[in-house]
Amino acid sequence: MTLAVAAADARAEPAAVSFSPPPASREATPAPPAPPRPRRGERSGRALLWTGGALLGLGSVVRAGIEGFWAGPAALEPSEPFGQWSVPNIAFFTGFANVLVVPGLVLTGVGAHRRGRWRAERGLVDPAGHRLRHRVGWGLLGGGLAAWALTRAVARPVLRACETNGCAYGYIESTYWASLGLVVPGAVLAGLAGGERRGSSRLSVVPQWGPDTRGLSLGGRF
Amino acid sequence: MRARAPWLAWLGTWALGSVALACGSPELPADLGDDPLDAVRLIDAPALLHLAAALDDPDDLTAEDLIRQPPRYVRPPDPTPLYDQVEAAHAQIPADPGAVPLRVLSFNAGLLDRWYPFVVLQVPEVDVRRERVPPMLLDDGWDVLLLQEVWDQRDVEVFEREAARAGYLVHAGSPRAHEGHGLLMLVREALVDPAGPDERGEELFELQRDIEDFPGPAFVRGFLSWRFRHAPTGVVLDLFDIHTTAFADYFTTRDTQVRQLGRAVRRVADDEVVVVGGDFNGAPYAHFDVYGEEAGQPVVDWWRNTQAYALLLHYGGLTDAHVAAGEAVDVPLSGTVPEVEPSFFDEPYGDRTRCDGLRGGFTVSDCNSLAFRQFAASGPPGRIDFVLLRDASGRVWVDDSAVQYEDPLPAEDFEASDHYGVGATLRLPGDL
Repeated sequence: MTLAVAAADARAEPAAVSFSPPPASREATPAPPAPPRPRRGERSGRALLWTGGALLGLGSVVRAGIEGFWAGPAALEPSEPFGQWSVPNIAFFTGFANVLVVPGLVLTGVGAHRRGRWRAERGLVDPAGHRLRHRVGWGLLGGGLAAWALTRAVARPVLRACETNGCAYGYIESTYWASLGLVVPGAVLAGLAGGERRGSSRLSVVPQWGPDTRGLSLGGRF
Repeated sequence: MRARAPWLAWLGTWALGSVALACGSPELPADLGDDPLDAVRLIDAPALLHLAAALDDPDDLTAEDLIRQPPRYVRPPDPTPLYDQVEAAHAQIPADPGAVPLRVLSFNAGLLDRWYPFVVLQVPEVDVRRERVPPMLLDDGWDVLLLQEVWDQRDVEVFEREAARAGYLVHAGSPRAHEGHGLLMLVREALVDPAGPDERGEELFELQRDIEDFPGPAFVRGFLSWRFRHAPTGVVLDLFDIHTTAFADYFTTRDTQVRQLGRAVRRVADDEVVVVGGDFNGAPYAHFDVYGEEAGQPVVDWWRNTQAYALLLHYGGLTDAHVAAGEAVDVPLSGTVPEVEPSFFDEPYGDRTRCDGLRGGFTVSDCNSLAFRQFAASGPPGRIDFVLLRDASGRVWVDDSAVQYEDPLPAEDFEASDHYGVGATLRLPGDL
C-alpha cells in the first residue's frame, strides 16, 4: 500500500491522501485528485437559514400581534392596575409566539452551522474573523439564553410586585425582545463559527476508481 | 359580558376548548348520595314538588337523580304553588313591633373587564361604572350589600375606600381567590357587635366550568360567608354571597354548586339567621324550554335550568324573600314574552315598549341596555338574583322586596350593571 500526497497546501486547500493497491506492472504514479463531489444547495445552509429566518419573522409578528391585542381590543393602559389573575394567561399566550420562534432559532443555528462548514470547505474563512465570530456568537447566545431564562425564572415575583400594566407587561416584553435580540445573532454567529471549525478540520473519504488506480482518497487538514 | 371580535372569540374558543378537554373537573360531586337530602323524593319535598309536576313519571325520582341524571321535563316547571305556599307561611309570622329592619341588597355589579387569548370579556361602560357605582351603592342606605362581579382588586380597593368613607366593613375573601370569584360583602359597621363573633369565610365550589379559569378569564367560583352578631338585636347573622356558573348548558355544574352552598347553610345553628344573596344564573321559571339563539344555534334546556333554584331551597332550607314579600311576578310576566323573532336582535323583544310591562319582574332581561348589547335574544328574561333567608325560629319578617337599579345611571343612557339588583328589608326580632 502506498501513501500518495495529492495536494500539500494544508492551509489553502485540504490535503488529499490516497491509499491504493500497488500497480501490477508500472511504477507508482500520483493518483489524480478526485473531483469535488457536487454538493446540493441545502448543504450550504441557505434553505435552512431562509426557513429559520421566516419562522423567526413570523414569530416576531405573532408576538407583536399579541402586544397589539393587549393594546387594542383588551385596551390595557400602562397606568392602570395590573390584574394578577392574568399571569397564567400571559405565560400561555406569549408561548404561542415561541412555537414559531424556537424552531426558527434552531433552524437558523443549524443553517448557519452548515453555512460555516460550506464556507470553510471552500477556503472562504478568515481565521481572525472566525475567532471573533466564535467568541461573540457564543457570548451573545449564552448571554441571551441566560437573560431569557433568568428573567422568566424571576417573572412570578416580579409580576407579583407590579402594580401597573406598564410595569408587568413592560417587564415581560422588554426582556423578551432584549433576549431575542441577543439570541438570534448569537445563534447565527455561533452556528457559523462552529460550522467553519468543523469544515476546516473535516476529513473526506472519496472512493477512487481509475484505469490504474483503485482505492480511497482521504482529504483533510492535519 | 361581551366577547369583542367574534372571529377572535371563535378562534379562542376552538383553541382553548381543545386544551380544556384535557383538564376537565369531575362531573359530579364526590359526596353525591351521602346527604340524606339527596335521597328525598321530589314528591316529598316542598321545594321540588313543582319539578315533579312537570314530569310524567316522577314517583321515585330524588334530588340526587336531578343532579345525576337530569330528567327531560314535558312541561314548564311552574313554581307558583311553591310561591303561594311560601307567601302564605310568611303571612303567618306574628308582627313584632320591636323588630329591627335590615336592608339587604344582592347586586351583580358587572365589573367585568378581562381578556384571555384572542378574547376580551367586558361588560360595556365598565370604566364609567367602576367609578360611579361604588359610591352610589354605599350611599343608598343598605345595611348589607352582597355583591357579585367585583372581579378585580382595583375595584375592591375602590369599594374599600368608599366603605371607609360611608362606614361599612368589607369582606372580599383572600386577595388571590377573590380574583376568581369576584364576590364582595359589605356590612354597615355600626351593626356588627365588636364583641364578636366575627368570622369570615370563603369556599370554592368543588365543580367548576374549568375553562373559565384557565385558559379563560380566571374565574373560580364559590361563595363568601360572614358570621357576626347583629348589634341592635343580638341575633347572630350568617351571610352568604354566591355567584354560580353561567349559561344554560351548565345546569348540572350549577346544581352541584347550589347543593354545596345549601349544605353549608344547613350547618348553621338553628338559633342563627341565614341571609343568602347572589347571582344564581338560574331562574325559578322559564316559559319555554328552547329560547333564544347563540352563534345561530337555539339555546336549550331552560326548564332544566330551573332546577338550581329549587335545589337551593331544598338543600339550604331557604326562603326566597321576594316570594315571601309577595313581589314575585316572574311567572305571569314570563308568559307575556313571545318567542324569539329576528326583530329581537334589533330591539328588546322586538318592541321596546314591552319593557314597560316587564319592569320589576326580572333581574336580567334584554330591557337592560348593557345586557342587550351583549346578549340580545340569547335567553328569556329571568329572575336569577335573589335574597334568601333561613330562619328556623320562623320569626324573621320580610317587609318588602323589589328589583333595584332598573333605571339608567343619572346623566347616562345605561344602567349600573347588566343585571338589576334585588333588595329586601327584613325585620329581625330582638329575642330569638
